[in-house]
Amino acid sequence: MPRLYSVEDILSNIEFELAQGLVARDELGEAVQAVRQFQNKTRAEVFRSLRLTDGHREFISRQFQVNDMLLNLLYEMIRVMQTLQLEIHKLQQLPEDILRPVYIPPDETPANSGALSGLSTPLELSERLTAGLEWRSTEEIEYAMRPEAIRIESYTQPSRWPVIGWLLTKLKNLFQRPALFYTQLFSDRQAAVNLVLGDRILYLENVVREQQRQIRAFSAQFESQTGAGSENEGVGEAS
Amino acid sequence: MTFSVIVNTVGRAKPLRTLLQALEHQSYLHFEVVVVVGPTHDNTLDVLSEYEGRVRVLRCPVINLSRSRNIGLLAARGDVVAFIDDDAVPCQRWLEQYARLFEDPTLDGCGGAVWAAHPKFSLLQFRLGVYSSLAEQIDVRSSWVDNIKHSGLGTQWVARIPGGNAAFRRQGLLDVNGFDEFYEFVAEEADLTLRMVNAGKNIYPVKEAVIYHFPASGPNRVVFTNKGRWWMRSRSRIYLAIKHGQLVGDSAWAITHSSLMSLWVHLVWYGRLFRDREMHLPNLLFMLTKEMLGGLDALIHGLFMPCGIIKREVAEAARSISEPILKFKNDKSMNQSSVDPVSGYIPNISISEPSLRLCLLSSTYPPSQYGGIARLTNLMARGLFELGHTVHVVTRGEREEVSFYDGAYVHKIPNHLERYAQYRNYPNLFATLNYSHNVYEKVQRLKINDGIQIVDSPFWQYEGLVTLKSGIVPVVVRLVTGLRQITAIHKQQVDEFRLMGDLEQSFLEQAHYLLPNTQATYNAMHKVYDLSSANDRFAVVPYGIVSAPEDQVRPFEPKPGDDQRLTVLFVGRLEKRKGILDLFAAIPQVLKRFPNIRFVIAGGDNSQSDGFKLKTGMDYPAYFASRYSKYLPSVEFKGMVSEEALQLLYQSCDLFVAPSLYESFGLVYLEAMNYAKPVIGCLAGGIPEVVDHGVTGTLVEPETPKALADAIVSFLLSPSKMREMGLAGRQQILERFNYLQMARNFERVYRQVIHASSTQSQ
Repeated sequence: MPRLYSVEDILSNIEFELAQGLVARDELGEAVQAVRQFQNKTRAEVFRSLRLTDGHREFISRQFQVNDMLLNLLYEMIRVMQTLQLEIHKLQQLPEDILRPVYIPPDETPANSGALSGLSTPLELSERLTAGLEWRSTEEIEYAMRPEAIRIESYTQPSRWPVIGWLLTKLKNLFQRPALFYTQLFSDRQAAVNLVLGDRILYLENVVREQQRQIRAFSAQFESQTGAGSENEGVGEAS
Repeated sequence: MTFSVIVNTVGRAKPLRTLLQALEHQSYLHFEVVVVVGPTHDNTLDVLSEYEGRVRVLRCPVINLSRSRNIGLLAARGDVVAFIDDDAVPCQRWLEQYARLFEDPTLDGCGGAVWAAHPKFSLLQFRLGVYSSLAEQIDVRSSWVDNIKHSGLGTQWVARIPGGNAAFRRQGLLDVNGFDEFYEFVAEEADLTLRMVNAGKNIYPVKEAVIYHFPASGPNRVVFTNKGRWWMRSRSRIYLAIKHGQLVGDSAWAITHSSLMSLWVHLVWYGRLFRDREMHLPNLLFMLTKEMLGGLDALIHGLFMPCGIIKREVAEAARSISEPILKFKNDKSMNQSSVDPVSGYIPNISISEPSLRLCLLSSTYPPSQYGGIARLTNLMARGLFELGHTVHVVTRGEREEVSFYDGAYVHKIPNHLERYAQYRNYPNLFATLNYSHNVYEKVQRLKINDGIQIVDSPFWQYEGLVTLKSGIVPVVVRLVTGLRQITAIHKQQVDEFRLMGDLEQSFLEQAHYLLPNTQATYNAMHKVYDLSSANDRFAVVPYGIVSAPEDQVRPFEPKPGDDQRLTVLFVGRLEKRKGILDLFAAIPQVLKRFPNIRFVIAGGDNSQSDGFKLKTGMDYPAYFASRYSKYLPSVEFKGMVSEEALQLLYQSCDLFVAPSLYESFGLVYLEAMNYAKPVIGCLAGGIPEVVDHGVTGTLVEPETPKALADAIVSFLLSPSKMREMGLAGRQQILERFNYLQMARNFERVYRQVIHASSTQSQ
């Protein structure tokens, strides 16, 4: 027999959806999927239509792998960001007397971060969520965003044949030129992709850092309030 | 932070007046308005003279948008310069949104969304977009990265910013020496953006800071026609592609290809216009010549003489300007009336309190639909606009768009069924919950951009429920018939309807204020819903309509002799609740006494929904034809009729009858009374509060066909009674049931609720 819903169920669903709405709409997630599709399509086209040398083939495969990794990273960060936003929203729903503004300097972890029994603090949660994500230096991402990071030059091993060696080397060079042209074309496009991805990652990284800071501030407040309360109770009992 | 709002205008006095009137309502206070007037022959300067001492007026000797923009920039004194088209209207919090964005010290420029809101041309013109060094333009709908799917030739792509809704830090703009004056029209903002980005400036568009665009004719184009200086577009694009393509290293082939495409697209278009005889040969030749000359001009300038920007020393001088801005807003700004941006009409009313920004909900709305709630909401919007308020209506549509119609910005939203999947098995509940959520999302945007202060929702299908739960803005509820009432009448016991009825109850309990249209409505609802907590938060607001012009009012004129063929009109859905079966039963009794009488029945058949067809196997007209076939020649079933046809029916009838078993109000009686027609209704619901028994009509007990027939006969026997009661009804419309009077009553409640909410939040 199907379950009978009550109006309370619906009202709590509305609240849930409203809370979900406070988390940014998943445009970024959709966009990442779009990039994935684009990348898969391009990968198929590149390997099907271009006569690539082994070196170029390897280079392009590696680049696609890097893209995959970046996309995964991006997707994970979006997920983390959204979860953190939801946590912030939940904290904002707590009674106002529990959350009074307390200044916590950026990136400063409160000394007392112990969890209350049966309740995981938001700080713990955020750390758990970000546990798999290593914070890399931004220079690395910024470097990857530059077009020259993936630009490749023609390289031909000089021929050791006497007399006509120079001619063979030149012919080899000439033979590589069409493939190089398409590879450069591809790498130009790839540079644009990297630029966008890198930009988004840097942005998300900042957002996540800021959110973590906020959560730390909230946690510190929460703990100082609840901690103070339990101490008072203890004093009362003793007296 | 101070703003200089720069308006560049040529020969568009009317839209300019509308824009200036709209700027009075800006929530942000610290801004000046600089109007740069091109060579104009209309009354632009007269309009501006009305704002003497509040608006700085400058002249531009030529029709050149970039030069006009530069003149405004050099004279600006604000920290940020904001450009807006002269045929647009900003949202109320336009500058406030920009001010919020420019708090970020790294931001140098941004542009907001543009909605074309003309009834003839309504669409989202711009939200996000990108532009390339080869003048390729792509609009982005969801997010930045989805743009990657497109393949363009240009090497450099930058965020696109709409020239008609853009704001830049003044110093940043002067750093790149303003706009390139080669662009007389089109692409000047794209060129600027490319140069700013190349100079290391931070620029991005945003979805907020909305403007509503009402395209008007000017020297560059005649709106809604094919006439315009279109060669300016290709000229600008070719110049941009050559200038920036070279700069960023686009290949010569790509630049040539892009330039030729700009020309080719226009040539193909002209060819089609010529083929379809929308363009004559001399005009075609003229346009082709202009295209070629424009292209050549762009080529020469692009290759050899680029950058007609502000001279460095002039920019330096402007940079050092530190005079205070000339504030546009004054003490009277708050009490300025709203303006109709399409016609330029400003209600002639003096407002003692600040005008309000209101949001009315109605899932159906004219001109596409004229249901009861749709019609009422439309009348409320018209009345509230006439009282000087800014009204937004949120209604359902195929796609998201906005247009200004009959005094209100009508925002259409599609009903995306994305949420509440667990209720899929309850299709009505599922659809209504999703719609309510979609409404909430729109309301959220309207609050951010247009600063709406209150939402007025009809009770039916609890459109405002999610908004109410969100708490972002107070919600008042117009009480009309609820689902629980209808299911009680039809004795429908379905789990889905039980849940929807419970939701209605919750909606009533939490609403900030309840607005029944009659005391009877309130009492009737009290029987079905628990309104015990609503005693101190409800007010009866009777509905009102627009009085018909005197020359259309036709009081009954008795003619000598018995051969006058009178018409009795019924208007309403053909369903049991509307008393159609009682009328059917009364018709033979009347026709036996007066065989010459004609009955006209207007309204769609609803036998499927009310279960009549299931029971009898027939719809209502077929039922009448089979049961009373003898009288069929005297009865005409019109079915659903258009609004115009309906008004003609009211106008031409002699007696109006609507024996509804229940009506929360009964707008149909007012519509008949509007044309001085006597009415017959039932002693049920709110009808006695609308129809004054013995004065404007006759009321009978519901479901009494005999009494109904007697009442009709009684009128037919007394022509003078018909005339007197008809005229008394007309008088009631003029004095009591007027849409302006109704709007005043709503306004009173809105002010009270807004005041209470703001006090509470403090």
